[in-house]
Parts: sequence; structure tokens; C-alpha cells
Amino acid sequence: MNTITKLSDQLIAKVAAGEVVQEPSNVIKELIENALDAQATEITVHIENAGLTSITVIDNGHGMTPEDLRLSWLHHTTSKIRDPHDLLQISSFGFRGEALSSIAAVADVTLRSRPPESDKGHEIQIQKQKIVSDQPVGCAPGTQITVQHLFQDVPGRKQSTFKPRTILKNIQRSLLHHALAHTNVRFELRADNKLLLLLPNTQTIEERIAHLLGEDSQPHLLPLYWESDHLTIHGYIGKPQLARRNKHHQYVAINRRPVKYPQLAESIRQTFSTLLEPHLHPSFVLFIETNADLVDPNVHPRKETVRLLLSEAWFEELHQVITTTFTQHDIAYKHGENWSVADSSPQTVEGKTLKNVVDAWQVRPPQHNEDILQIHNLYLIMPTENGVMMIDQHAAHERILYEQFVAGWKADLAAKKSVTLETPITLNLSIDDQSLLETHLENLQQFGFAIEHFHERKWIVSAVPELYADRDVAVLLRQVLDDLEQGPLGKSIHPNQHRLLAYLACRTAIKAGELLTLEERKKLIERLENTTTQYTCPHGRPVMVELSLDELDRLFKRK
Amino acid sequence: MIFYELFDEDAKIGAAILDITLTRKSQSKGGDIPMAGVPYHALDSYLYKLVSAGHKVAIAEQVGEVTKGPGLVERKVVRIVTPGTLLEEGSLETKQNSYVMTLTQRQVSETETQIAFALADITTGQLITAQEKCQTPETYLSDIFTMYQPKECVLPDELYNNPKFLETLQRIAPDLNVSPYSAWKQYADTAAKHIRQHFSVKSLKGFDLENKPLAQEVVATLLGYLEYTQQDPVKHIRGIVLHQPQNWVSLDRATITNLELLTTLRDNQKRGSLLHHLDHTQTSMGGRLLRQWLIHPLRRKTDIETRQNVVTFFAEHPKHLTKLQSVLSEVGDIERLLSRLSVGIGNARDMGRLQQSLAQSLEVKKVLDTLSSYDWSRFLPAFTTDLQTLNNTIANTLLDEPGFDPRQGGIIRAGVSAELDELRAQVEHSQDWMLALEKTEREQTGITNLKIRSNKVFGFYIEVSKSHLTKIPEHYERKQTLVNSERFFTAELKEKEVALFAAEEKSKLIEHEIYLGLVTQVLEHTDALQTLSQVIAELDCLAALAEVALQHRYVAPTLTECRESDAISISAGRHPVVETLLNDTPFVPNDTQLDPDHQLHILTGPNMAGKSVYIRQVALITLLAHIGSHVPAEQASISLVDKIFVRSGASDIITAGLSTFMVEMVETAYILRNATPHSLIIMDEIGRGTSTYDGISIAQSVAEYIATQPDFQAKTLFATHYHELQELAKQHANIHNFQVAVDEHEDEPVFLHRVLPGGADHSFGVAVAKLAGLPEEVTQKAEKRLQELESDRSGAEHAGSSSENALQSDTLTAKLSRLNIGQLTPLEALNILAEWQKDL
Repeated sequence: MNTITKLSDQLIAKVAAGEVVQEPSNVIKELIENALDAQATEITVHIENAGLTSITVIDNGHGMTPEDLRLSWLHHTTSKIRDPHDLLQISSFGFRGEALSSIAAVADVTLRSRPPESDKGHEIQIQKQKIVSDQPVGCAPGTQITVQHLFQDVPGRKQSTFKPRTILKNIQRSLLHHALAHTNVRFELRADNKLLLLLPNTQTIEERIAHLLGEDSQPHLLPLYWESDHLTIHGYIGKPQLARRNKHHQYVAINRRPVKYPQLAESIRQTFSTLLEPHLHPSFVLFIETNADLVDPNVHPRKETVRLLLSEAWFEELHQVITTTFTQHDIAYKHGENWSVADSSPQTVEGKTLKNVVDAWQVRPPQHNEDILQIHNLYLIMPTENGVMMIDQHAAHERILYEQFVAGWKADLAAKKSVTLETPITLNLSIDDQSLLETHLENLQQFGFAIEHFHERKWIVSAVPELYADRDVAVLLRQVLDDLEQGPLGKSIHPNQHRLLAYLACRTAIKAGELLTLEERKKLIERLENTTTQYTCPHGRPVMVELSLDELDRLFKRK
Repeated sequence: MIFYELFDEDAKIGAAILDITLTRKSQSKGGDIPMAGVPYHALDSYLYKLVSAGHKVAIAEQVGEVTKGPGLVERKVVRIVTPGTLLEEGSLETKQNSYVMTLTQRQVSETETQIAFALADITTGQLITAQEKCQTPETYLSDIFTMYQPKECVLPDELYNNPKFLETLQRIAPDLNVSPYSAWKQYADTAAKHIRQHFSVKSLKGFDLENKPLAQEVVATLLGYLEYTQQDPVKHIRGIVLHQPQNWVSLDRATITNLELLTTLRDNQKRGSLLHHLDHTQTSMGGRLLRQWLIHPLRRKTDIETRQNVVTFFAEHPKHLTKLQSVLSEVGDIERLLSRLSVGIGNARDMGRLQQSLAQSLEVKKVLDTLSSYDWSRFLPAFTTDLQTLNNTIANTLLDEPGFDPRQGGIIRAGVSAELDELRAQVEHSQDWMLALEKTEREQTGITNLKIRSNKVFGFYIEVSKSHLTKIPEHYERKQTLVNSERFFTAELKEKEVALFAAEEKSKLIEHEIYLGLVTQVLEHTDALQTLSQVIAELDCLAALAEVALQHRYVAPTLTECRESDAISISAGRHPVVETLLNDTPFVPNDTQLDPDHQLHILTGPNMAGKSVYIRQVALITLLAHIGSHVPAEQASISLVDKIFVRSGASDIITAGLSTFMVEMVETAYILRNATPHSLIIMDEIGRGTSTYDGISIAQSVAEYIATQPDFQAKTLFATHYHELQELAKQHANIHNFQVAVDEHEDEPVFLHRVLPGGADHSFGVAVAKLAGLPEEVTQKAEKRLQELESDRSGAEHAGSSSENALQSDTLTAKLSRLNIGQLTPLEALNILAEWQKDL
């Protein structure tokens, strides 16, 4: 008896599709690329229920004849290549002949098209990978593809595992990526009939970049242009202050195809070298134009990455070009822009951060009367019974604050100490940041921030918790949003509120680089001793490290 | 709690309408009268209800001081509220003007009537008038009413007492409030003088009213009526605008209704109309102006292009558009706030809002200054430095959040008036003094819970609980006894109280004075503020049109004078409103070419296929082009038109007393008599309301008239279900057939929504009936009958074209009807008969 059987065609299709279609934004990406290949100048995307109920992509391209329609959704059918030679010269987006068939394997698809020369349009409906309707229809010139009930009968990809907000963010990003590479095309996105994104073809590339990086990024973008033998690269590189923890603000398009190009990103990051904190990634939007035969897109199932046949030497040159650009624009550290790591000038703690937050603490007399040493404005060192204790002051303070925030949260304490700003601050957020803000809005408000939506992607902050009254709120919020996006921190910290509190604590705490008086050091340690037993900061770094005498002995080879 | 009260009959009526309690008030001379009251702060909504029920309401206020003497305090009627003179915000549509109208007419000859009307919107200060001769007064009035939709109409006695005239008005505007005005004749007799006085001018030439006595009459009586109702000289009405149809593309009532410009046909709502679709204005002033732009499309190319260029600028620079709109969104209704202050019902909050709107308007100038790539010079003069000064003055005088009532204080900042500040300090001190006294008295008397408080009735008092009564000093005088305590005063306390009260009263008085000073200053800038409002409104409208263009992919149409190019050419045109109703299905675009060689388009095809939508989109695109907007098409070149007519037999506008068919004929007659070579005519299913042969004949004759009458060159789209009319194209080079393409699939019609050359050969009526759900027995029988009829018809065609015969006989009829029998001699008549017989 066979336990191994061959899969049915339909099942094969579903499995193969799994590589291509993982979530609604993939569907939209494929359909947009088809539209662009059809020379469309207007692309409209309608989605319902974050694309899980329906996705419709409408374009004004050159359409398909009824025969074309009947073939298009089958496997390995395409208009983009004919023979192997074409693989070497791929200039269109689609070439595998898989997009529509993959989609049809996991959803109900309706295809409608009308070539402009014809007065008659044609429509076919595909359900469960079979054509159920094939008839002429009246429609506008171009193509309209509707994808319904995505994943409805695909086990293992239940619709409920998708978070609508994440999907929406990915869809917007997907659309935006293509919009950046095609400024002559008008893009429109509507979700549940509400206009989410409108990119008219009269927009400049800079305006579209503002959607990706946020409008406030505009003054911090450095233009870049470099022509070499077989390649042109142009676009913008963001100054260090636009660097983020994630890579969502990096964009590369090769021959108008948005791709992930890790080598390039890494190269640019290295060029920044000490200008950036180690865990941050620079922002940039770059367009590369090169001969088609230098690019191999047939590398990734979703065509996300490509192979560029380039040499090391090229990267060297690029490095030079970027560095020159930096010097031209005088990029250096500027005090006062919250660059804590490299900024070694001591800032005294005004007492505000330590004092305000706290009620009377139970002060335990320190066990030791010796001095507590502060080195490099970062670590506190003190002898203990068993050896020597080294404490990261920032992590320690974070921990203290975090626990206070959590306690205060329950007592609604933090919320009461809110200060109205004299001039409200406007935030111009990028698509990603807006999504994050919406997720955490309620918690932020409970914490004492008064943030309201104003218009499109502008938000207004009118009040902040007293703690932050003197801080640059825009930067603070951006950093906190960054942190929230990064995701995993200590497993023990749930749910969203606590994450928020943790990050707020981190951003509020005494920074590395702040000088503490002896009193303050003592206080810090005392309070630390009163916290619970987890000795890590919300980012998972240790707060204190103890070297026992034994270990010291071993280090000095006494043992 | 202050109440406004109604007495006697008023009370009874009021109680019924407002759903308030009817009580009684006893009179000093004995007996009692009915009474009902509404709270002071809720007056607005109650007024609205009374006025909506058709009543006029007089408001009387206390004007004298409350003295201790005998008799009533002096009262005066300060306002008479009528349907057309409501100023209360809750009762007004923000984006529509609210007009009161005066109207009169005079028969000048057997066929001609001279009509004059004047319209005023007291909330914005606008005054419009016209005096015109016409032959069909009812039609003329109907157009005027559709355009302006006044709420109230005041008539001279001779018209008010004319039941036929009232009946006509009732037909045209069933919801209109009509009333006489007792002082009409008085104002009519001294009209010119009164107008000159109001506007402080020496002659009426500046208003172009010199030779228009009837217009003068209605303007003067209207001003008189307004002064009467507002008990105020309504000086914020600063000018007179002439209603000048020659400057606008003429749109009559049927056109406005059939194109659903302002409201939908189905349920008379704004939502779904073209206005609603275009209305992305950020301010109420802009909203009102947009409505006016829509019903008064422009006729001069330069005027249209002036608007269009700004729309194009913003459509090409979406970022600048967003910037401008976000500033505009914070500008309030300056016009209405100004009017409220002008007639004296404004309050301190209105003043505050006016200042904020003014400040925000001045920000608009800053935005324009940053958009240096365009020449804004025609807008900039409105943003004067005087207004900036006014803004600063108010902002520096009025508190950020002033109190409501300017007589109750709490509206002026500190530092504005030394006297005020001092008085306020005094009040503060008195209050501090009270607290200090409390402390001292407690210590001195040893009564630890001694309190010093005040209330409105008794003023200040020292309150001591009963248990401590023994400790009270001698100089305490008893004032009031309560259950657990007693209240006292002392001479000192009394003195201080009197001083405090005096200081409070005086400070309120001073605040009120300062406030009135502000009002005067504001009113001195009435002209500048009204001009500013108009500029803001215009920018707002232009921005709104640009937004529509951006959101819906419109293009800028090219406008041509008829002598350069007399054609309406549209590539891939779409219906502006219908395309937004299709959700995620794109609208199927179609081309149009109307010019002297293609003057009359005859459009056939089944109804569901989209004939009506297509012919209307041509009219709407033409209209949009004439208001300076971009249009939904890939390309459009529009030669300027002077009138647009849209007739629809299918929409059953039945007016009382006339059948559908009669209405249709009346309207068609109107078109044929009034169209010019520069007009655009849309006819949808004419000839429907009568028997088939009659219908065909009339439709055919009308079509031929349009195509062949030498002076009649108006471009016409003629949608019809009479396929016979297709024959006309064979005989006249300027008539062309078109059809809405319908395909077939498995015996069912597939509507392609494409308009293609050539007549439809099939009506698909039965197929559509099937789709609609008629029972099978019915549709099957219908199909059989259709086949029979069609074979009959084709039989006749083989025999020599019955339709051609029909045509010939019609031509015969036409010839016959043109014959003037009275002028023929018998011999001539015989000759003509012989000739016709030969032709046959």
C-alpha cells in the first residue's frame, strides 16, 4: 500500500502559490506589476476588509483579448518572454507566467479586459481554479482584476491570523514602492471605499518620497547622482538623523523595479561608519538604471531581490561618491540633536527626571560607605561583599522608571501629570509610523500624551506627560515608535501597554553620557535594589554585572 | 432663569407648535390671560420652529433700567423674525443663501409683462435685483425661483389680493411664505430717494437703476421691509448686484432640474447632485459661492480662463493645494458673523470667532506669498494692512474665550483699560477682604466654623450655626434664619458689599462699552471684510474644483469662440456624478463630436444601455467647462454656448393641472422658439406621452426643424426610442445616427455602454423586460408579436419603404401647413395641387 501519493494538480497549484502569494499585499504587487507591464498610466486599487474579502486592481493599459484572458490565468503562460534568450534581457516585471495562476489557486478571480481598439470587453470568472463564466461585457478600456475570498479554502493560511493594520501598511508600502519608480503613473488606493492614498501623476518624486519617509524628512535629504560606464545611480540619502532601527526607510529600484539590495544597503551603512549608532540603518531612496543584461531578477519567488552583476570596485567607487556628498554637505555630529552615544560632554541631570516621578522611597541605608565610582559617564562601580558590582546607569534607571510607570499606570498616576504644550507640535508621519501610532494611540493617551489626528498624515500633540515637558517631543515619539516597531523584547513584558511603558522608560532614563553626583549614584543604586528581581532593562540588556572575587582571582591568574 | 413669553392667542399658538406648557398669568386688574414661555438660551431653536410653521415672530426686549419706581420697565420690539430673515445659525443652511424677495409686475402690452424682483440675504448682506420684460411670466418666475429659492416673498397689495397670481406662485414654489407689506406704497412712492439715502449716494446711475422704476420700487420696499424686521438700518447691505442673464449661460428650470445640478430628481436631496459632487469647499462662504457659480456659468472666454488657470495651477501642484485648503479649513463664516454684529444680535463669542477667522484669512495671504510661481495679484489687494490692524486690535482687546453675553462681563483682557483693571482689582480685593474677615471673625468670636458666604438674594452674610449663637457679638444684625443656622450682617460688611456690587456693575458697564467700541470698529471695516470674504470664497471654490480634478482625473478643456471653432469635441468623456457611484467599476468613456456638419445626433438603443447618461454627460461637461472647472475626459474642446436646454420626457415632471405630454410640448415649444445657433439642446425621449403615430410624427418634425431651419443651428442630441427617425440621416447631411451598442450572449443582452455611429437595429425591449422580471408568458408572447410586427414592417420596406412614404407625406403636411390659403387665388391653388400630385 502506498503511503506516498502524487498531489492533485490543484493542490500542487496551491502549494506553489504559497511561495508567491503569502498575503494580500503580494497579490496587489503582482497585479500592479501586470498593469505596469501593460503600459498603464492610471492604476486604482480597491480593497475591502484589508484585501481579505476583495481586491480590485483597475488599469488603463493595453488590455487583453478574450483569448488572452482565457490563457492568462493558466500556469506558465505569459506575454513577457518567448524563448530562453529573453531571460537574459528581462525588462518587464512579470516573466514567470505564475502570478495570475498562483492567485487563482487561492482565491476567486474575475478578469475583465477591453483592448482600446475594441468596443467590446470580455470577462471570465474563475472559481476553484475552473472557469465558471466566460462572456462579453461592457467595460472601460484596460483591465480590471478582482480577487475575492483570498485564502478562504487554503488550510494553514487562515484569514484570522492577519492583522488588518499590518496588511494595510504592507499594501500601502507595496503601492508606494512602485509609485516611486513610476512617477508618470497615477496611483489610487481605496480601502472600504475610503480614499487612503492618492498619488497624482503631477506629483514630483520628492512628494512621493515624503510619503515613504515622512514630510519632515525633506530638509534632511542629500541628493545623489553618479554616472559610471554601465550604470547610473540617483536619488537621495538621508542624513544621520533620519536613520532608523528598521530598514523600512530604505528604498532601491533597479530599472524601475523596487528590490531589496542588501549589499548596497550594507555598503551605504558602512560609508556612514561612525556617524551612525551601531544598530541604526540609514534612510535612502535610490534609483539604479543599467543595461537589462546586467540584472538577473529570476532569483526570488516573489522577485523581491535581484542579482546585479557588479564588482567590488564599483562599491568602492560608490563609497567615494557618497563620502564626497557628505563632505559637501558638512555632515557631522551636532550637539543638541539627541545624539547621546558620541556626545561625550557631560550633562548634569537637573534632578527633574529623578525627582518628579517618585513618591517617598524607602531608603535603605547602603551597605557600604565607600564611594561609588562612575566611569565614562556610563557605568557605576562599587565593591560588594563578594566582589565588585558594575551597573549600567541607563539600564538601571530604565528599570526603575519602568516599574514606576507600571505601578503608576495602575494608579492612574502618570495620566494626571500632563502638561499642555504652549505651542502644539505637528507630526508629519510616514505611512509606517502612522500605522504604529494608531496602534498605540490609546496607550499613549492614557500615559498623558494628547495626540489627535489632524489631516491625512499630520497629527497634533497638544499635551505631554510632565516628564517630557522639556524634551523634544517629536524626536522622542519617533524613537519610541521605532522601538515599538522593533518588536521582541524581554518575553515577560506584555501586552502593548507595557511595551510602550518600557520604551518610554528607556527614552526617559538617564542617558549614557550623563554625569551623576555621588548622591545621585547612591540614590540610583538604592532604588534599584527596591525593584523586582529581573535584572535586565526592557531591551533585554543586563542592568548589572557582578564579578565575584573568585572570578577576579581567576582573571589575575591567582587561581 | 430668564424666559421669553407669549400671551393670549400667541400663547395658544405657540404652545401648540412648540410643545410647551400653556399656563395662565393673573392680571393686576383681575382675571387672567393665557401665557407660555421659552428659556432665553434656547430661543434660536424655538424661533426656527415657529417660523417654519409659517409665522412671523416679534421679539420684544427690556430696554430701560430696572428702577424702583412703579410701572413696567420700558420694552421695545427689537426684531421681527420672518422666514427669510432668520439669522440664527442653527436655522440656516451654511452653504446656501437665504433670500427674502420682493416682487411686482405690470402689464405693458397685450403680450408683454414687465416683472421686477429684488432679493436680499440678510445674513451675508447681498442684494440682487432685476427688471425685465417677458412674454410668459410664469416661466420666467419659475426659472428665477429655481435659481435662487427664496424663503419668503413680500408682495404689493394688488398682487397679494390677486388669487390667480397667488395660485401661480403656489404652483412654482409650494413652500414659499407669502405676505403683504403695509408700508409698500409708502416706499414705492419715494423709492429713488430711499435708495439714495440707504447707500449714501447722489444718484442711482452707479447701480444702473436710473431707468428702471419697477426695480427701484422693489429694492426700496425690500430695504424698508428689512429695516422694519430688524429694527435696524441694515447698513451691512452695501451694494446692489444686477441679475444679468446675458453674462451667464442660460439654464432654465427644466435644465437645472433634469441635470440634477442642485438636487437629485429622485428625492430632491443635495446628495447625488453635481453640486454635492463638486463641493469640496472648506468654508461656508465658498460653499455658497460655488452654488452660485454652478447656476450662472460664464459666457466670456477670458473670464472662464481666469478661473481655469488657477484650477490648473492647483491641480498640477497638489502639495500647494493641500496647504491652501488646510488654512482655509480654519476660516469661519465671516460674512454671517459680520451681519449678526451689524444688526445687533451678535455676541462676544461671535466677535471672537470673527477675529479668529480674520486672522486665519490673513494666513491665506501668507500661503499665496509662498506660491511665487503664479500671479496672485488679483486676490492680494483684499488682504489689507487695515484688516491686519483690526485683527490685532480685537485679539489684544478680547479674551481668548470670552463670555457669551457682552453685558455680563468676562470678555475683555487685562491691560486694555486702566479703569477696568482697577475695578477688577477692587473686586478681587473685596473678595480677599471677605476671606480675611472670615478668618478674623473666627478668631475674635471663637466660632471656628463661622462662614462668610453670599448668594444672589441676600448678598453677603455671616453664617453661624445655632449651637454657637451665644457667642455672637453685639454688632451682628440678624438677616435670615435657617434650620440649623442663622445669618447676620454687620455695617462694615454691608458697606463692603455695596462697594463690591458697585465695582462689579461698573466693570461690566465698562466692558460692554469697550465691546461696543470694538463692534463699531468692525463695522467701519464692513466693506473690507465683505471684499475679503468674497476673495476667500473664490479661492475656496477654485481649490475645490482643483481637488475634484485631482481626485477624479479631470483635464483642462480648451474653450473656443464660435468663429474660430464651432465644435464640442470630447474624447473619452465620462459622466461626472455617475462615475463616482459605480464603486470599483470604472465608467465606460465615450467620444462626442458636435459641429455644424454633425449638428443633430439621433441616438437610439434600449433604455438601460445608457442613452440618458450619455446625453447628459455632454451637457454636464459643457457646463463644467463654462464655470472654469476641469472636465472628466481625456481631452475636450468646447465652443462657447449661450444656453443649455435639457428636456426629458422620461422624468415625468408633472405640474398640477397639466398632463405629462402637455408639459413636454410646452417645454419643446419653448426651446424651439428660444434656442440660438450657440445653444446646446439635449432631448430625451420626446413624444412619449401620446400615441405612437402622433409621437413619431412630432418627434420627426421637431428633428427636421432643428436640422433644416436656416437660423436654427443649435447643436442637439436627440435620444429616442423611435427607430423610424434614423431615416432622417439619409436625407440631411447634418443629421447623424448613433446607437448605444448592445451585444448578445446566449440570448441575453450585454450592454457595452459604448456610443457608436449608426442606428440601432434592434430594440432589445423584450430582452430588457425579461431582465426586469416580467413573467415568462408575457415576454414569450411579446417576442412572438414583435416578430410579426417586424416582418410586417420589412414587408412594407420591400414594397418601397413605408417610412419613406411617411416622410413624404409629412413633408406634404409640412408644405400644406405652411400654405397661406387666404392669400391664394383658386387658380394658384389648383396649380399647387397638381404639382404635389406629380411629386407623389
